[in-house]
Amino acid sequence: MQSALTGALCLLLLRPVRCPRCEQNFYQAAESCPHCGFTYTDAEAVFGHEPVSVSKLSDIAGILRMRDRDAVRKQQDFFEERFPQLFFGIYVKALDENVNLRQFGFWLLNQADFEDVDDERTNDCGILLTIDVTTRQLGMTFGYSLLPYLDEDSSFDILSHAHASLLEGKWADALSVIIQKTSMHLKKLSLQARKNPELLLHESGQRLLQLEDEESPELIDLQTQNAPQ
Amino acid sequence: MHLSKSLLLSLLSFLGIFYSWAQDEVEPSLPSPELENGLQLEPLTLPERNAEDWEAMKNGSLIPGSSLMGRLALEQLFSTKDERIIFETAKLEIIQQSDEDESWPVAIDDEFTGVYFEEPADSFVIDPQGLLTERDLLSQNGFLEQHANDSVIDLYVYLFEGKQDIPSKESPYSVLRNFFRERGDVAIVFYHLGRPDRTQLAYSARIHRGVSTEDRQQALKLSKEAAGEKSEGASQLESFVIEMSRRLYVMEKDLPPVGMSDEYLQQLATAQSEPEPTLWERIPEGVKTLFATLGLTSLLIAVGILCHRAMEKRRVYLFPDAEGPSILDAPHAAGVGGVLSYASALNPPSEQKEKSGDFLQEL
Repeated sequence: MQSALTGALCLLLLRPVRCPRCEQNFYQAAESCPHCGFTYTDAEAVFGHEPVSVSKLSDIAGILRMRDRDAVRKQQDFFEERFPQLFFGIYVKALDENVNLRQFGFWLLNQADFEDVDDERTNDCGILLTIDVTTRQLGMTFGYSLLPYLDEDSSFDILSHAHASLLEGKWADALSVIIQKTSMHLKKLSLQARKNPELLLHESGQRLLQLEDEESPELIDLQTQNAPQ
Repeated sequence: MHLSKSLLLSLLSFLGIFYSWAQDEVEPSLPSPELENGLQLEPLTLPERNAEDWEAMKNGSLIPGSSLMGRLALEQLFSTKDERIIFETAKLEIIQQSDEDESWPVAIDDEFTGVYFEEPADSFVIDPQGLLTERDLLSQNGFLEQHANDSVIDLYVYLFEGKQDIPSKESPYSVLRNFFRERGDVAIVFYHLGRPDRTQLAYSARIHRGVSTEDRQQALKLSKEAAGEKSEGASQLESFVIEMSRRLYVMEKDLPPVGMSDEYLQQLATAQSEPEPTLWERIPEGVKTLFATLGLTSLLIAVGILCHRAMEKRRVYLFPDAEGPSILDAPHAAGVGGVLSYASALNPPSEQKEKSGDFLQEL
């Protein structure tokens, strides 16, 4: 009885996850959406099983000028300097009208092979901004490592800051704002994670790996004195 | 020298009549006893005329005094032609030589130097040698007293003879320095009677500071010119004093307001010569210290902010390594974040956020 109550309490503390298809919330660790039964296999069935090779800035739709692309790449590089574990991918395409942007982003981040991202940064540590110029929408998808730090509300707030620039067609400005706001958000949560990492991880149903590694406890120190400049 | 014929004829006729009257009526007067005792006079001899001259003068062929004109001038005088009368050069030189040869005293007697240079002036015209008549002296003093009543700049005139030399140690400035230091604003003039061009002038210090050099020199120049328009010495002095008085009135307007102490004026002159203090120099020391403290603090804060920013730029952020179960059977990512539509400005993010998650969307 006690263990059942503890389990229920733990579930209440967990941060909900949104299903990319039915957009209903469910608690983590579900192998399929409890509302619609959606799994990654369903996404693969729609978008394909083969790995997709993309760069971290893929402007398939061609909305960015050369100068804008350079500016955005600099922002992406700077993001990676500040967050050595993460990367920020941007994918711009004119999708078919019946394509759900959430599902596409979910599939792409799992399926993509980012050719200009070093191997140490797996897709688990990636943030993917997907822009559909057909429906004029953009959405954010993130890997497992970022589940404790990003969710739908926070990512929507980040995207909202670029709404004005997007309306005016200032793509470089919009993308720059999104990357900067994401950096600020993650910086804040990084400091919180330094103080109490277990609580944040627990909310996402994750647990700290370093605690079990008795030989290198200092790895959990988020202060990055030896980090690359 | 050119004279009109009618004037010369009139003059010569008058001299002829006077000559004849003197010959007939006047007897030589005896010298007075005083002259006999004090001076050795030469015996006075009157010109004599003979009968021929008398006859010639009567019939008009001889004009008394005409010999002074020279032969050529006389011929021109009686000529029927209207031509200029030119006197002989030799006769004119005789007259000029007599002027130049006239000897003038050049040194001031010792009995007068004390009054000039060793005593304070007791009147506006200092004339111990009695160069002016009593009447002229009273007139000039009266005028200068009236000027002193009307003007803040008093004018003192030291009178010397035309060719008298001022002792080398003395000057209007030395007199001003020795006797007029406490008398306010004055102008001291060393005036040589009959020689206004030799005039020396000194002003007190406040006039020097208040009036430009050009104006001061102009006043002296104009006064000398005014004196030069007259021929007689006393009249020249009168014209000089009147013009100088007028110029001093003009100078008075340029002087600083009356009542300012010499110390203040000295400070004013010093302040004008020195560079004006800067705004920083005017600020009191306490305020300066406050400013310095605030400035230093601001500088430190600015440096701190810059250092913090520099460190922030170099700072990197890491996240703890974690592990957890896979979601929706996805290998890398199950984090589905927000989706924003930028299709219309009428559909702001706040509205989109409220609507999201309330419907089931199937593929």
